Amino acid sequence: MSTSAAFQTSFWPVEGSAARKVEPEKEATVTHQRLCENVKVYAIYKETGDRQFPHDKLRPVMFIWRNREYRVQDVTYVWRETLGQAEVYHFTVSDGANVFELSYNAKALDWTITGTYSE
Amino acid sequence: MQQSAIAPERVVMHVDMDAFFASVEQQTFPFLRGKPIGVCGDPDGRTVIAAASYEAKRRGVKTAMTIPEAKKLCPEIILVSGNPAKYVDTSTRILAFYTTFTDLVEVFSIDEAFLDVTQTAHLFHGPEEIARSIKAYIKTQFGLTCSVGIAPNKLLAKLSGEMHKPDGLTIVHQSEVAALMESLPVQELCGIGPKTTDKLNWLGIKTCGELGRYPEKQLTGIFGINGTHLKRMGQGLDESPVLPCFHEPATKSMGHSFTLDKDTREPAEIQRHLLQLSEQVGRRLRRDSFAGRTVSLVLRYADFSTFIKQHSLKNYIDDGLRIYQTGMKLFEELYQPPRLVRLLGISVSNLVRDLKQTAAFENSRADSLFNTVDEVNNKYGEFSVARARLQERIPGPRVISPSWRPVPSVSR
Repeated sequence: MSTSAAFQTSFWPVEGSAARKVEPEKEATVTHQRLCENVKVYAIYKETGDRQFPHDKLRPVMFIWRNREYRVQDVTYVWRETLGQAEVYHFTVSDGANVFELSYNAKALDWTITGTYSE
Repeated sequence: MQQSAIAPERVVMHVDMDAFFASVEQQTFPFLRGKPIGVCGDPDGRTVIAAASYEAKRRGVKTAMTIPEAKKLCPEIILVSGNPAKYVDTSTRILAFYTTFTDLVEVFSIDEAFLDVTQTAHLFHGPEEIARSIKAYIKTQFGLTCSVGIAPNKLLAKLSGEMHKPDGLTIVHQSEVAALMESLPVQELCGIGPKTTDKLNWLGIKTCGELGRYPEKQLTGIFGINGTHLKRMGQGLDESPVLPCFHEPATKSMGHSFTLDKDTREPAEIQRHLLQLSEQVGRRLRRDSFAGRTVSLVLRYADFSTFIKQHSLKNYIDDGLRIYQTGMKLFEELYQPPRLVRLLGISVSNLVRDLKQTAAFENSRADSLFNTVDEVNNKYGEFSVARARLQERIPGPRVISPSWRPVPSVSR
């Protein structure tokens, strides 16, 4: 299942005289692909003292998606969401070119890729 | 030892996250950093800008602006669909960090809080050091910035926090208050809106200094009991306590509203929206062990004219269907065909708590059904089990209510 373009961008061409060719401004585009696919994730688990917010315990370092290997260069944001009884940890990670959202369901113990984002 | 008769100066801190939602999105998506972005409910829908990045603010984009207005000011603005779960989790973690300094933490909104550190500041090398620790934590953990104001009361703490944004730290001591207030425009104070400002200006009051010196009798003659409060605000006085979470005034009503994707007069569409809103209200009532007797319906037409009607029942209810049935009766009484409906809202007030433990509650077989459905939804998520009519459910809210508070389980 995949849908696309949840982000919207705008581009308003600048009106100009007929004699002058107006170069369009670079469109500020963000492409978002919503996904829900199981993915193999290599993550580092480290023990931290905070039981209440264990967000920092898990750090994805690499994942294999559609037979391609992605090395995580940066974990840009982490947040937790409760879905019923399951705690789901969302990680937005960057491989240097694109941003991916990986989600870990702490009850089902599985990883899914839930979105890709690129400029 | 000689004891001082003078109470120590209160130390209240106001922490305000800078362009909160927009900064979180810029942190999440590095390619948005340094660009004008606006966070909204649904970029394709009819929502407003919930938060603008500082790059967009510099172009004149403000919170609550419509999307066409924002695009007119800043054509290259990038609209980002908000992610409430992300903001709620971030805010919850930050609030928990505040409670490591004091238990007197008042949640003002999802991105603003007051801390009373009068009794605890000395344990952490003073209020300024607490503010620096908070700023460092927020920067390190989330990559975000906040602005902090420290003053002898909430009014002045909020005022000072807003003086230097973003990433500011402003301290106002009691001895500096009179000079600060003297030339400060009255509308700069939290609680003085455009209407009050107009009235004060009409009286010739432009600054807080003038407001503080104005005869109280004349102010109360115009503003009623608020006149006294206004005069004290002008003097920079505010004794209101910092109310910690879960010690706030009791809930008076629970409700939900929804702006429809398109204006409609279709009965089926209106009924479906109202049923979902009613089910959401019922679920919240049961979750917090409330039941209510008065149902209110809000109906807004396409031209923004808004009507509210309420009805009080004999019995207390917490059932979405009963709320819906009462709401539909009110709708039928209010609705003027063939006008197009823009927004629907429903709320339940006259609340009592834990009534199910008494005989006064109208117990029925339905209660056991609700318990089962609630248990399933607790386990698998909202609307995992719902009425068949709500199969085509409206997407969940993409905004955070101003009354948002962290859930009790996360408080320390």
